[in-house]
Formats: sequence, C-alpha cells, structure tokens
Amino acid sequence: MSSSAKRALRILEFVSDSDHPLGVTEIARVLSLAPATVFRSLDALSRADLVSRYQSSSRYVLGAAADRLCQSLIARFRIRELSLPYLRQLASVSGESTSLHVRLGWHSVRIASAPGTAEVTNAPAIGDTRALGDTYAGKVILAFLSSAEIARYRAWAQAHDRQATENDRDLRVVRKRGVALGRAEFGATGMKVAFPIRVGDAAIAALTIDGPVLEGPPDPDSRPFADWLQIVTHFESLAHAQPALFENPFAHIDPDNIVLDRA
Amino acid sequence: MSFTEKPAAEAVRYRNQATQRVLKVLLAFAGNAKPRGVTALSRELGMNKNMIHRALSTLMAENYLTRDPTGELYQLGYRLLTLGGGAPSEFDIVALARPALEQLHALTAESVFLSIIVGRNRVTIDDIQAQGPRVLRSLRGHPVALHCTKMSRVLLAHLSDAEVGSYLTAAAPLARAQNVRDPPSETTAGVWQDVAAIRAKPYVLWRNPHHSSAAYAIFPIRDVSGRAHAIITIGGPRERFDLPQIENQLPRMRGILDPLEREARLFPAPPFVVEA
Repeated sequence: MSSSAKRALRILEFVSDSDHPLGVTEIARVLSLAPATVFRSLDALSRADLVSRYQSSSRYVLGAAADRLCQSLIARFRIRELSLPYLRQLASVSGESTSLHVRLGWHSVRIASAPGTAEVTNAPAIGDTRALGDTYAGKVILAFLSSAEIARYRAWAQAHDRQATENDRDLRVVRKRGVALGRAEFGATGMKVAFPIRVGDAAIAALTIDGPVLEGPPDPDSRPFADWLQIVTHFESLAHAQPALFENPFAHIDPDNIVLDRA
Repeated sequence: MSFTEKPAAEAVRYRNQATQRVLKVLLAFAGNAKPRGVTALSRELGMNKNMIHRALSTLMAENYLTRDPTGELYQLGYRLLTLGGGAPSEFDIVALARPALEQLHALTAESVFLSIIVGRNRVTIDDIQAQGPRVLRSLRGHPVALHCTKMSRVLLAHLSDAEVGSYLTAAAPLARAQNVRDPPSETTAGVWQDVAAIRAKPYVLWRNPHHSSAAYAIFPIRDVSGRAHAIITIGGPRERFDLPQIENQLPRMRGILDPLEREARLFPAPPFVVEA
C-alpha cells in the first residue's frame, strides 16, 4: 500500500472537514506531519483537482474533482433521482425543505433534498451521515428493521462507544405512529417528521420534512398529514413495482464492515 | 521561474508519482463510470496492471473504492460520501423557473404555474396566483392524472411512446377526473391523437371548451432529447386572456422562457416509472 497516497487522502479528508481554508502549516501541525510532506501531498491533490487554492491564496479548499466524485457516488443510488419529484411535491405542500436519506451500514446518509417554499427554510447538507439512532431519519429506518438487525445495531453502537439515544419504547412508538419526529432547530417550536420507505418488511430509506410542521403526534386521518402520507405511500409503491431501482449499491457489504468514522 | 525553483518542483513531481497514480485511478471512477476491473483500467489509463493493482489496494483499504456486488469489479466506495462535496449540481427546476414565473406574471397579470410529473400525475409545485374576482386557480401539490386536462397531456406527450403506452395501460380505464372536464377525449385512441398534436408544436395554446371559460398557454421545458422536466402554464379567464391576447404576447413569453429552456437542455429530465 502506498503510504504517501494514504497520507494524501488523510489530508484531503482534513481539508474537507474544515470550515475554513487551510494552509500547509496548519495541516502539518494538526496532523503531526512535516510541512514538506504536506506540501508534496497538496501538490498531488491539487494536480488531481481534489483540492484547490482558495482565491489564489496559499490556503486550500476542496476542489471540483472531489465534488464530482461525491456526486458520482450519490448518482449510483437510483432511488435518488426517482425521489426528486416526490420530494418537490412534499416541499410544495408542506412549505419546508424535504430530504431523502438512505441506509448505509448502521448509518443514514442524506443524498437528496428539495428546497422548501416558505420564506425561511432549511438548506439540508447532502452527504450528512449519522448513526441510525442519532436522528429522526435514522430512527425511522431503525424502527422498521427486524429485531435481529436492531440488536446488531445496538451491539455495533456499544462497540463504538456510541451513547444509545433510542430505546425499545422509542422504537415501539415510531412503529405505532409510522413516523419518527425530530425537534426543529433554531429555536422553532414544532416537530420535523420522517417517513420510512420500506421494501418488503425492512426500511431502506426515509423521506423527511426538515422543518417544524407538526405541533404534536400526528393524526393519520387529518390534513395536511394525510396528504404527506399519501405522497410517501405513492413513492413507496414505486419500490414495490420496481425493486431493482431501489437497490443500494453497498447492500452486499456487511453493515459492521462499513466504516464511516475518521481514523 | 527562478533557477532554484525548477529542480525543486521536479523533485516534488518525482516523489509524488505514486500518489498521483493512485489519485488518477480514483478519478477514473468520476462521472457516470461503471464498475471496472484491473484490465479495463490498465487499458484506459495506460498504466500497467501491477500499478493499477497497487493503486486499487490503497483505495480499497481506505474505502474510497469497494468491490461491486459481483465481487469481480471495482466501484466508488462509500467513504467518498464523507468528503461532503456538497449538493449535486442537479437541475433545480423550482429555483431556476421562479424568475420566469415572476416575469410571465408581470407581463400578463394572470396566474402562472410550474408543474411536474410525480408518479402517474401532474402536480403543480410552484405558482403565482393572479389577483382579482375572476382568476384561474390550480391547487398546489394536488395530483391530476396525466391523461386528464390539457396541461397534464402536455407532460404526457413529452414521454417516449413506450412510456405513454405503459401509462395508458396502467391507468386504464381512462376515467375523467372529477371537476376536470377537459380535454374531451377519454379513449386511448383519443389520447394518442392528442399526444401527436401536442408533439407537433413547441407550445400549446388551449381554450377550455367547457365550463371554466379559461384559456392557457402551456410551455414544455425540455431536455436535449425532448423529454419534459416540467411545464409552465399561463392561464386566465377568456374575457380578458383569450387566444388572441395570448398570441399577441407569445413572442415576449417565449423570450422570457428562452434562458430557462437553454439551461434545461443541459440536464436530463427525470425518469418515468409507473407505480404499481
């Protein structure tokens, strides 16, 4: 294995994680590398367009090729392009931004979103990756897995020192309601909502409304919740009609072997 | 460049060759690249199989590449998701069409709608409603079957023949939607005839022959292959917005839509999949 390439990839991830452009000195200090080594890695990454100089300065940000790779990967989830019209319909009737999250091992990853039409609406980050138990999107997927899978998730979470943020009662409530609720951010009152997308008995993804649209537990027969549910049900019926289009390109990998945390 | 910089730069390049090879192999998977094996990559990148194999090992170890479901080929790895490259550069029809909707409303003072296909239906996902005692309304988010109404049929007509056929099979018998009384034909042959007429023109001007007394201009927003991303409809009561008034404003309407239509051609329209 090429250790210089491994080092370059580590630097790439560090640049990606940073909320500001990074210079050679800062990267070298934080990653405990020699500045000359960092310079060489940045040179290789820069030639590949994986990083680029920020406004012609000596500091670096993620390059266009990194975006292209990320987009190419997301495009391999066919469910993404199929979901976009439904996300747009859900956004237009709820006024809030909506998202598609897929299961990836023991995580959920947001791979699509449609902006809301309200005056102020969230701009959800594509690629946002969380452990299943950590968000309303992941919880609704987790709740609709088999009890054996839930037990495996818990064992994985424990092995990775993750604090359990969900319990059996939580998951029972999610299954009973058919949705998971999440508290809205930015001081808003009200709840966000996540709907499971199931193929067979197991959830493979979640559609979410990412703004405060519910004041409390939903009544499935009352509007507008019934309208949202109908849109999600139509999308789910596509999965029953054409399951091949909903296949996850990483479904063949054991969830325990999908490692998304930084080394 | 100074005399001292040149050898230093060459030295960097020399020492970086292994890294650059690894990154070159990774970048070969960008775009719509399908999973590939060592031989195909070797041929494509002009690198020997040993080099490719070593690069693949590095990228596999870091989960930047993984084996595909067959186990034979390599595909992009899930680790790339954590690069957080941001939103895909997709065609956001709502954001891109909004300025056109506003300009069309300012031009006509009538209602303007942006509608897309969702499942087997047309759904209006953005609109600007005209003000006044008599205006054309369309319920945002409300589904209308693709064979019902001229607006829906413009979307239907811009699918392929096979897709129109599969829709008509799935939707049979072609019931008329409640409260939606145009166009008149609800037979399969009638829909095909209408589809052919719609395809023959770049836009549709339509006067509702029934109760609502409205007239419309309907513009498909197409990709390069002619499939529709969406339609934009301008409609109003016939006493002030009938076909002669629409035809009078048509050149300016088309001028407003031209930038959007050019942008739309750069992106493929979404796939059409009939629900169960």
